[in-house]
Amino acid sequence: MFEHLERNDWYLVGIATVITLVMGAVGATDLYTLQVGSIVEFSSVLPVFAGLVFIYLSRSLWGGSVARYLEVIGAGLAVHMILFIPHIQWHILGEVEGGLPPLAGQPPSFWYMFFHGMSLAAFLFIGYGFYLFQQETEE
Amino acid sequence: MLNLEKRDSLFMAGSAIAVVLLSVIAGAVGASAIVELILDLLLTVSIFGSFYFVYKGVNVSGGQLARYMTMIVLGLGIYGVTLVPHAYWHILGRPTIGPLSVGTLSAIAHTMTVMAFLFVAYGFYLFYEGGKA
Repeated sequence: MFEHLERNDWYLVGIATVITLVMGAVGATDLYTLQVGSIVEFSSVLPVFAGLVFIYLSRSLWGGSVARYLEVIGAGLAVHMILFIPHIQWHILGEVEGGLPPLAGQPPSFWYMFFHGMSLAAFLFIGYGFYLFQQETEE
Repeated sequence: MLNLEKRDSLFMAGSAIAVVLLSVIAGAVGASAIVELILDLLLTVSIFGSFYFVYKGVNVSGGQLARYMTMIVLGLGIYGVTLVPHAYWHILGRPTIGPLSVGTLSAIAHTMTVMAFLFVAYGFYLFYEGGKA
Protein backbone atom coordinates (compact mmCIF):
# COMPACT_ATOMS: atom_id res chain seq x y z
CA MET A 1 0.00 0.00 0.00
CA PHE A 2 2.86 2.41 0.71
CA GLU A 3 3.86 2.33 -2.97
CA HIS A 4 0.89 4.66 -3.51
CA LEU A 5 2.56 7.45 -1.55
CA GLU A 6 4.32 10.12 -3.58
CA ARG A 7 7.63 11.84 -2.98
CA ASN A 8 6.03 14.81 -1.17
CA ASP A 9 4.27 12.45 1.22
CA TRP A 10 7.57 10.84 2.17
CA TYR A 11 9.13 14.28 2.67
CA LEU A 12 6.38 15.05 5.17
CA VAL A 13 7.06 11.77 6.98
CA GLY A 14 10.78 12.62 7.04
CA ILE A 15 10.24 16.15 8.34
CA ALA A 16 7.85 14.85 11.02
CA THR A 17 10.50 12.34 12.16
CA VAL A 18 13.16 15.04 12.37
CA ILE A 19 10.81 17.37 14.32
CA THR A 20 10.03 14.54 16.75
CA LEU A 21 13.74 13.85 17.35
CA VAL A 22 14.54 17.56 17.75
CA MET A 23 11.71 17.84 20.28
CA GLY A 24 13.21 14.85 22.11
CA ALA A 25 16.48 16.78 22.41
CA VAL A 26 14.61 19.92 23.56
CA GLY A 27 12.81 17.72 26.10
CA ALA A 28 16.15 17.02 27.79
CA THR A 29 16.68 20.74 28.45
CA ASP A 30 15.11 23.33 30.76
CA LEU A 31 13.21 24.79 27.80
CA TYR A 32 10.74 21.92 28.01
CA THR A 33 8.78 23.05 31.06
CA LEU A 34 5.60 21.41 32.31
CA GLN A 35 3.64 24.13 30.56
CA VAL A 36 5.37 23.60 27.20
CA GLY A 37 4.78 19.87 27.62
CA SER A 38 1.05 20.43 28.16
CA ILE A 39 0.82 22.65 25.10
CA VAL A 40 2.50 19.98 22.95
CA GLU A 41 0.23 17.29 24.40
CA PHE A 42 -2.99 19.23 23.83
CA SER A 43 -1.97 20.48 20.39
CA SER A 44 -2.68 17.06 18.90
CA VAL A 45 -6.32 18.15 18.65
CA LEU A 46 -5.35 20.84 16.10
CA PRO A 47 -4.54 18.49 13.21
CA VAL A 48 -7.64 16.45 14.10
CA PHE A 49 -9.69 19.61 13.75
CA ALA A 50 -8.00 20.38 10.42
CA GLY A 51 -8.81 16.84 9.29
CA LEU A 52 -12.48 17.40 10.17
CA VAL A 53 -12.54 20.62 8.15
CA PHE A 54 -11.15 18.80 5.09
CA ILE A 55 -13.63 15.96 5.60
CA TYR A 56 -16.43 18.51 5.71
CA LEU A 57 -15.20 20.16 2.50
CA SER A 58 -14.56 16.81 0.76
CA ARG A 59 -18.02 15.42 1.43
CA SER A 60 -19.84 17.57 -1.08
CA LEU A 61 -17.02 17.30 -3.67
CA TRP A 62 -17.10 13.50 -3.70
CA GLY A 63 -20.69 12.82 -2.67
CA GLY A 64 -22.35 9.39 -2.62
CA SER A 65 -20.71 6.47 -0.84
CA VAL A 66 -17.38 8.30 -0.44
CA ALA A 67 -19.23 11.01 1.50
CA ARG A 68 -20.82 8.28 3.58
CA TYR A 69 -17.58 6.72 4.77
CA LEU A 70 -15.95 10.11 5.22
CA GLU A 71 -18.83 11.02 7.53
CA VAL A 72 -18.43 7.84 9.58
CA ILE A 73 -14.67 8.44 9.92
CA GLY A 74 -15.35 12.11 10.71
CA ALA A 75 -17.80 11.16 13.47
CA GLY A 76 -15.08 9.00 15.05
CA LEU A 77 -12.46 11.76 14.81
CA ALA A 78 -14.95 14.28 16.26
CA VAL A 79 -15.64 12.08 19.31
CA HIS A 80 -11.89 11.62 19.81
CA MET A 81 -11.23 15.35 19.48
CA ILE A 82 -14.03 16.54 21.79
CA LEU A 83 -13.12 14.16 24.62
CA PHE A 84 -9.33 14.37 24.30
CA ILE A 85 -8.83 17.60 26.30
CA PRO A 86 -11.13 16.78 29.30
CA HIS A 87 -9.75 13.21 29.29
CA ILE A 88 -6.07 14.24 29.36
CA GLN A 89 -6.79 17.10 31.76
CA TRP A 90 -8.31 14.52 34.11
CA HIS A 91 -5.19 12.32 33.89
CA ILE A 92 -2.91 15.32 34.50
CA LEU A 93 -4.98 16.26 37.59
CA GLY A 94 -4.55 12.68 38.74
CA GLU A 95 -0.77 12.93 38.44
CA VAL A 96 -0.66 16.28 40.25
CA GLU A 97 -3.01 15.22 43.04
CA GLY A 98 -1.62 11.70 43.38
CA GLY A 99 -4.88 10.02 42.41
CA LEU A 100 -7.59 10.50 39.81
CA PRO A 101 -10.33 12.86 41.05
CA PRO A 102 -14.09 12.36 40.74
CA LEU A 103 -15.80 14.59 38.17
CA ALA A 104 -19.37 15.91 38.04
CA GLY A 105 -20.36 13.73 41.00
CA GLN A 106 -19.15 10.54 39.31
CA PRO A 107 -16.33 8.42 40.80
CA PRO A 108 -13.01 7.82 38.93
CA SER A 109 -14.15 4.27 38.06
CA PHE A 110 -16.98 5.78 35.99
CA TRP A 111 -14.56 8.04 34.10
CA TYR A 112 -12.05 5.27 33.44
CA MET A 113 -14.76 3.46 31.51
CA PHE A 114 -16.32 6.54 29.98
CA PHE A 115 -13.20 8.22 28.56
CA HIS A 116 -11.49 5.06 27.36
CA GLY A 117 -14.73 3.44 26.21
CA MET A 118 -15.59 6.52 24.16
CA SER A 119 -12.07 6.57 22.69
CA LEU A 120 -12.50 2.96 21.72
CA ALA A 121 -15.93 3.70 20.21
CA ALA A 122 -14.40 6.61 18.25
CA PHE A 123 -11.79 4.36 16.67
CA LEU A 124 -14.38 1.66 16.03
CA PHE A 125 -16.36 4.21 14.02
CA ILE A 126 -13.20 5.04 12.07
CA GLY A 127 -12.56 1.33 11.47
CA TYR A 128 -16.16 0.92 10.32
CA GLY A 129 -15.66 3.81 7.86
CA PHE A 130 -12.63 2.07 6.35
CA TYR A 131 -14.57 -1.19 6.30
CA LEU A 132 -17.26 0.51 4.19
CA PHE A 133 -14.54 1.75 1.86
CA GLN A 134 -13.05 -1.73 1.56
CA GLN A 135 -16.46 -3.31 0.92
CA GLU A 136 -17.09 -0.86 -1.87
CA THR A 137 -13.85 -1.77 -3.64
CA GLU A 138 -15.07 -5.35 -3.88
CA GLU A 139 -18.18 -4.42 -5.81
CA MET B 1 -27.66 16.68 4.54
CA LEU B 2 -25.75 13.64 5.68
CA ASN B 3 -24.99 10.63 3.51
CA LEU B 4 -25.04 8.29 6.50
CA GLU B 5 -27.36 5.31 6.28
CA LYS B 6 -29.67 4.36 9.08
CA ARG B 7 -27.51 1.45 10.25
CA ASP B 8 -24.45 3.75 10.44
CA SER B 9 -26.28 6.12 12.79
CA LEU B 10 -27.73 3.24 14.80
CA PHE B 11 -24.31 1.63 15.18
CA MET B 12 -22.73 4.86 16.39
CA ALA B 13 -25.56 5.92 18.69
CA GLY B 14 -25.80 2.36 20.07
CA SER B 15 -22.05 2.30 20.83
CA ALA B 16 -22.24 5.64 22.65
CA ILE B 17 -25.21 4.47 24.74
CA ALA B 18 -23.43 1.20 25.53
CA VAL B 19 -20.36 3.10 26.76
CA VAL B 20 -22.48 5.30 29.05
CA LEU B 21 -24.25 2.23 30.49
CA LEU B 22 -20.92 0.45 31.01
CA SER B 23 -19.57 3.59 32.71
CA VAL B 24 -22.47 3.64 35.16
CA ILE B 25 -21.83 -0.04 35.93
CA ALA B 26 -18.08 0.59 36.28
CA GLY B 27 -18.81 3.50 38.61
CA ALA B 28 -21.01 1.29 40.78
CA VAL B 29 -18.58 -1.64 41.05
CA GLY B 30 -15.44 0.51 41.30
CA ALA B 31 -13.41 -0.42 38.21
CA SER B 32 -9.69 0.41 38.23
CA ALA B 33 -6.77 1.38 36.01
CA ILE B 34 -6.82 -2.06 34.41
CA VAL B 35 -9.94 -0.92 32.53
CA GLU B 36 -7.84 1.76 30.88
CA LEU B 37 -5.22 -0.70 29.74
CA ILE B 38 -7.74 -3.22 28.35
CA LEU B 39 -9.70 -0.55 26.48
CA ASP B 40 -6.51 1.00 25.10
CA LEU B 41 -5.42 -2.44 23.89
CA LEU B 42 -8.80 -2.90 22.18
CA LEU B 43 -8.35 0.53 20.63
CA THR B 44 -5.03 -0.61 19.18
CA VAL B 45 -6.76 -3.70 17.79
CA SER B 46 -9.44 -1.52 16.20
CA ILE B 47 -6.74 0.60 14.53
CA PHE B 48 -5.16 -2.58 13.18
CA GLY B 49 -8.65 -3.22 11.78
CA SER B 50 -8.59 0.14 9.98
CA PHE B 51 -5.12 -0.65 8.68
CA TYR B 52 -6.24 -4.03 7.38
CA PHE B 53 -9.31 -2.64 5.60
CA VAL B 54 -7.26 0.08 3.94
CA TYR B 55 -4.58 -2.44 2.98
CA LYS B 56 -7.18 -4.69 1.35
CA GLY B 57 -9.19 -1.87 -0.22
CA VAL B 58 -6.17 -0.04 -1.55
CA ASN B 59 -4.81 -3.13 -3.28
CA VAL B 60 -8.08 -3.40 -5.21
CA SER B 61 -8.82 0.26 -5.87
CA GLY B 62 -5.33 1.72 -6.49
CA GLY B 63 -5.10 5.28 -7.81
CA GLN B 64 -5.34 8.54 -5.91
CA LEU B 65 -7.87 7.30 -3.36
CA ALA B 66 -5.27 4.69 -2.37
CA ARG B 67 -2.75 7.45 -1.71
CA TYR B 68 -5.10 9.44 0.55
CA MET B 69 -6.24 6.36 2.45
CA THR B 70 -2.65 5.16 2.97
CA MET B 71 -1.61 8.54 4.36
CA ILE B 72 -4.57 8.64 6.77
CA VAL B 73 -4.07 5.12 8.05
CA LEU B 74 -0.31 5.64 8.40
CA GLY B 75 -1.07 8.41 10.90
CA LEU B 76 -3.68 6.33 12.71
CA GLY B 77 -1.28 3.37 12.73
CA ILE B 78 1.46 5.39 14.45
CA TYR B 79 -1.07 6.46 17.08
CA GLY B 80 -2.25 2.87 17.50
CA VAL B 81 1.22 1.39 17.88
CA THR B 82 2.44 4.02 20.36
CA LEU B 83 -0.75 4.40 22.42
CA VAL B 84 -0.41 1.41 24.78
CA PRO B 85 3.31 1.86 25.63
CA HIS B 86 2.64 5.58 26.03
CA ALA B 87 -0.39 5.09 28.33
CA TYR B 88 1.44 2.38 30.29
CA TRP B 89 4.40 4.70 30.80
CA HIS B 90 2.00 7.24 32.34
CA ILE B 91 0.41 4.52 34.51
CA LEU B 92 3.87 3.52 35.77
CA GLY B 93 4.40 7.12 36.90
CA ARG B 94 6.56 8.28 33.95
CA PRO B 95 9.88 6.54 34.69
CA THR B 96 13.14 7.35 32.86
CA ILE B 97 14.19 4.69 30.35
CA GLY B 98 17.95 4.11 30.07
CA PRO B 99 19.64 7.44 29.31
CA LEU B 100 16.38 9.08 28.23
CA SER B 101 15.00 11.66 30.65
CA VAL B 102 11.33 12.15 31.47
CA GLY B 103 11.38 15.36 29.42
CA THR B 104 12.81 13.63 26.35
CA LEU B 105 10.35 10.75 26.54
CA SER B 106 7.42 13.07 27.10
CA ALA B 107 8.45 15.35 24.23
CA ILE B 108 8.97 12.44 21.83
CA ALA B 109 5.72 10.68 22.76
CA HIS B 110 3.54 13.76 22.52
CA THR B 111 5.20 15.22 19.43
CA MET B 112 4.79 11.85 17.74
CA THR B 113 1.06 11.94 18.49
CA VAL B 114 0.79 15.42 16.99
CA MET B 115 2.68 14.25 13.89
CA ALA B 116 0.49 11.15 13.60
CA PHE B 117 -2.65 13.27 13.44
CA LEU B 118 -0.89 15.69 11.11
CA PHE B 119 -0.56 12.78 8.66
CA VAL B 120 -4.29 12.10 9.11
CA ALA B 121 -5.12 15.76 8.41
CA TYR B 122 -2.79 15.77 5.39
CA GLY B 123 -4.53 12.67 4.03
CA PHE B 124 -7.91 14.38 4.24
CA TYR B 125 -6.40 17.53 2.71
CA LEU B 126 -5.27 15.40 -0.25
CA PHE B 127 -8.81 14.01 -0.36
CA TYR B 128 -10.15 17.55 -0.61
CA GLU B 129 -7.64 18.59 -3.29
CA GLY B 130 -8.33 15.42 -5.26
CA GLY B 131 -12.06 16.07 -5.15
CA LYS B 132 -11.67 19.49 -6.73
CA ALA B 133 -10.07 18.13 -9.90
